[in-house]
Amino acid sequence: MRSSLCFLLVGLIAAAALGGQKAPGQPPQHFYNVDKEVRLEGTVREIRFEPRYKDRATFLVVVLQTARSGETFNVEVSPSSFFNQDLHQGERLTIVGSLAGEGAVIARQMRFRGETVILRDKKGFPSWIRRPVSPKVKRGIGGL
Amino acid sequence: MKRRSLLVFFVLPFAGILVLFAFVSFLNRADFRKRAEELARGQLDATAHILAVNISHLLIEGRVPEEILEIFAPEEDISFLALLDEDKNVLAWNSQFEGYLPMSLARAAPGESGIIDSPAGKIFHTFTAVPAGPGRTYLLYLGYSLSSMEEMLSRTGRNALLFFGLLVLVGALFFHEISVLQARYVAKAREAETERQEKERFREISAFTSGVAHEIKNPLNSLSLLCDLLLNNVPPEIRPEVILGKEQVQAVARIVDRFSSAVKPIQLASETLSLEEIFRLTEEIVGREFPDAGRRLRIKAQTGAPLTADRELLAQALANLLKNALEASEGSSVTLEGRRFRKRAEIRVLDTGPGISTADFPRIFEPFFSTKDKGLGIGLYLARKIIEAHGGRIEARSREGRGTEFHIQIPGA
Repeated sequence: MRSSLCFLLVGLIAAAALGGQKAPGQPPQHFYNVDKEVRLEGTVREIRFEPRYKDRATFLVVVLQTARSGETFNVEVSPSSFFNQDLHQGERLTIVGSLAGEGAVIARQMRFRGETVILRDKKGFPSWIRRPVSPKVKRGIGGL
Repeated sequence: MKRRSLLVFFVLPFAGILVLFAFVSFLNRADFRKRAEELARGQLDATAHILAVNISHLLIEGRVPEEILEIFAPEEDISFLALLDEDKNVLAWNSQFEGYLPMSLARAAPGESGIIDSPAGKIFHTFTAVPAGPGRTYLLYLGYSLSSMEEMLSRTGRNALLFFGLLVLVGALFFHEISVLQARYVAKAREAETERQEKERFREISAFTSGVAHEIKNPLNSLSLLCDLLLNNVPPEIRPEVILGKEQVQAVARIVDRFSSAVKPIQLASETLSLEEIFRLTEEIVGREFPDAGRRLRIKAQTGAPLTADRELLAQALANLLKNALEASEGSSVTLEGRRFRKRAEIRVLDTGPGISTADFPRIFEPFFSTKDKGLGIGLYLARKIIEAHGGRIEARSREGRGTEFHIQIPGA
């Protein structure tokens, strides 16, 4: 419980700190590419909150070091408000996602502590969008 | 109408109409969906073509893909947009949903299209060739939301369902009413048939009784006269027997008279009376047969309540009811009460006897029906006949072990 609160506090501070920042430019390949799905197993080395898409909430990003090769990946998880699990540095994590540029992965499914979290469907549609959006345009920043 | 006829002539055709409606509605919806999809596909192709032409111009002008897609950012029904080079590398893209670009680069080719069923609704997507300068052709990947079409189809479906539901409801109400009417019709038909049979039976009995009464009355008159003659000419010690014989003859004559009066049509000699007068006369008649009537009868009449009736007949009818009540209640009191209520005279006869059994109850007003050993079955029948001749009605309520109540209503003066 205490660790959860700590985690939440850190998350909120990070979100507040980064909330005013503009999303950094993403490479054009930063989208969920169904042809580049991978499965990664590793350990959480770092947890960050970053703006990933223009005019959208900050995202939870996990730095994952794979067990097999020792490579490090920045795993884009979901908007911080959607992810309501406890996650800690040093935890073992299995991810199914898509490679989205150099060292970047967009997660579709996460499994840790025996629990599976579905973040997107098989074509990459975000699980946090539950119904048709209004006609108002919300642009991503992948390449723009 | 028989239940089977109802099924054949009403329920089955209605069910047929419902099935036909559902089938036509289904075909219409399928056709509507097909046309809507064709329309959307046409619109998508046209949009893709216009975008491709514009993007082509901008690319030839030397603008960079990011800048170009900034201009053609997804608006309203465009879910996503991407520009790919000859090697199928994504040069720029944007999407209404974070990171969502559901294409497979392996399948990217001009003219390739399909429908994606996303949680945000159906999305048409297509690849269109975009000339990007001499010898260069890019690919435009466009996703077009069909949410408006889906909403329209859903609304059409809802409306069809609503109409279907209304049709079923109206049909159900209609059949319910038909069924109720049929039940009433059957009940009335049975009632009419029973009444017809009863009248037929009564006509036969009446004809027979009239004939027998006529045949008996003549010898009875002769016997009565003979008794009178004998009474004057026999020794005194035989006179009591002769008197007894005459009384028996008179008793037989009275029975015959009662039979005759039961089968004869009633002729009313109406006059304006008060309930008190009628009740007095009734008490007098009953008192002739029941010496303890004065003690057992509880008579309550509203003072001065007027009534137009045949004095003798109405008193006879009430006397018949009271006699039955006194016989049934064996020493207990019997109540006769009357009042004026809304231009009607209401009379009640209540006893505390054993009541009438459920089996006998429906038959108590039938002629010649009696549960008593010496009963003729005429009293209640005649009472009802007299009440109805006055334009009134009589009803009985009885609970076994709790007594019986007769309730009479007669139009007032």
